[in-house]
Amino acid sequence: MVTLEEDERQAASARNQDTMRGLPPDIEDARGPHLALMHTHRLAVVGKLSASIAHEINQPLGAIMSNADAAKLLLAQSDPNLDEVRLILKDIITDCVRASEVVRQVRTLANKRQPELPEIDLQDLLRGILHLASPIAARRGVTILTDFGSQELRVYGDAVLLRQAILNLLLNAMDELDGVPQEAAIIELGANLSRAGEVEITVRDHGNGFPEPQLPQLFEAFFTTKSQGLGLGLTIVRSIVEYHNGRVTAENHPAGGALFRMSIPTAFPGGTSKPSEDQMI
Amino acid sequence: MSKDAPAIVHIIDDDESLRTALGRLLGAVGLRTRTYSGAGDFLLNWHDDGAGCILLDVEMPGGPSGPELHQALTQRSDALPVVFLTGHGNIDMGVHAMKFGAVDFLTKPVQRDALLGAVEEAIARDRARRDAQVKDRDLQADYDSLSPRECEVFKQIIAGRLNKQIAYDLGTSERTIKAHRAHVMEKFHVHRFVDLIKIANRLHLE
Repeated sequence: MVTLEEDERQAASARNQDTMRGLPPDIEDARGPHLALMHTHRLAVVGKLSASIAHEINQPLGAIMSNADAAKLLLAQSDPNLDEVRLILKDIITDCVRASEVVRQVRTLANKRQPELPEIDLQDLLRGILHLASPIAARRGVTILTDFGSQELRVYGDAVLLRQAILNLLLNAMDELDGVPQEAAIIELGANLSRAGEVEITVRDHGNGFPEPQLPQLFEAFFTTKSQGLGLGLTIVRSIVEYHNGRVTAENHPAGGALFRMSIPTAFPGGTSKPSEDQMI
Repeated sequence: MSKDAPAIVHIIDDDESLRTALGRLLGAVGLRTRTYSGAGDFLLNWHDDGAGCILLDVEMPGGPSGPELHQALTQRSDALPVVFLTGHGNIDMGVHAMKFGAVDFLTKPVQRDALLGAVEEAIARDRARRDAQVKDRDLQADYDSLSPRECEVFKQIIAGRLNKQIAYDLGTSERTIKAHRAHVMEKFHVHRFVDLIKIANRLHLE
């Protein structure tokens, strides 16, 4: 019990020093601070995003409004062009979907969720992810090469969130490889224990990489390099990794392509004793 | 291009769906529209082919913003009036835009009446500017048609000097000055002294 609680508090204070400082440690139960912080952290992200969210929603709403106005005017004509009106209605529906997708994405950040941080082995998680990602990659003419080593990669993690984060990086990498000849369309997915007592997961594509000035912006909300992208994927990835007290970075690989590194502290830095099951709450 | 041809609204917005929707709405009320995906697209493809205005998005990622384009356009004598559209406007942005002469600053989603009202006013402003430019050109042509002597007399008249004072200065007779004066009035197509003063003002002569 003690180990996990301490760990959680450390993570909590690192994430949210201002609100946590001075709070008596025994005021919340073991899971309490995490839930509150997780939610506060997400709400803070949403708060920072509010202007962008307003923009992303008002854009389709504006199109819906003007389309509807145009349709009204067209229908008032003596011989209305119904084909045009049908086209307008189709576009209105498309924009409704677009607006609701933004809302859905935002809700994944804003919603209260019951996160769980049991000890998990990322080897298992990564194999599960490949199960999902490999068929998608194959359909898109992309090969995923893996190098997970043979060690156990134990972290305290929410499998649902981590799966979402890693999948997001893989799907981005596949997008980067669009238009690259099949023999060169390769993603390298790696996982290893770093010297610093962290598990490092790397996703490297062999695409064109990013213009250097874009690298620091990649994790910003609504920053996107894709014509259809919402620009929230990497923001959510970062939010998830930070929730695990880790960090994620983007760089260009010297030999070409983009390289994302995701580091998460191991469950037992230094390989100290493993807690028994009843210590896991 | 006849003065009464439908005006052209140049819609600049990075969002294709919104561009299309605005184009449909403005088209449905009888305006002509051109759409551009950004400031660069507009600068490359715009040519002055009639009265109109610009409907300009504020936020356009990956290029100059709406206000940046607007500021650049205000340097030109043939700049079209601008109506701003924004997804999340703030007061600073709006004040800044109005200071630089924007016609209006509207928030998406925009109400039809507000949009059409602003666009109409912008077009009216552009027509007024074009009319004034034509008048100025005609006036300048009239002025250029004055002989050097008539020009001198014109300047003295509007400085408030009497015919006989002018005659004395130029070493000629009052009758000659009266004849010059009549020619000046004729060339400017006016009959009263006060109209000459107005013309001098328009020509920025003192």
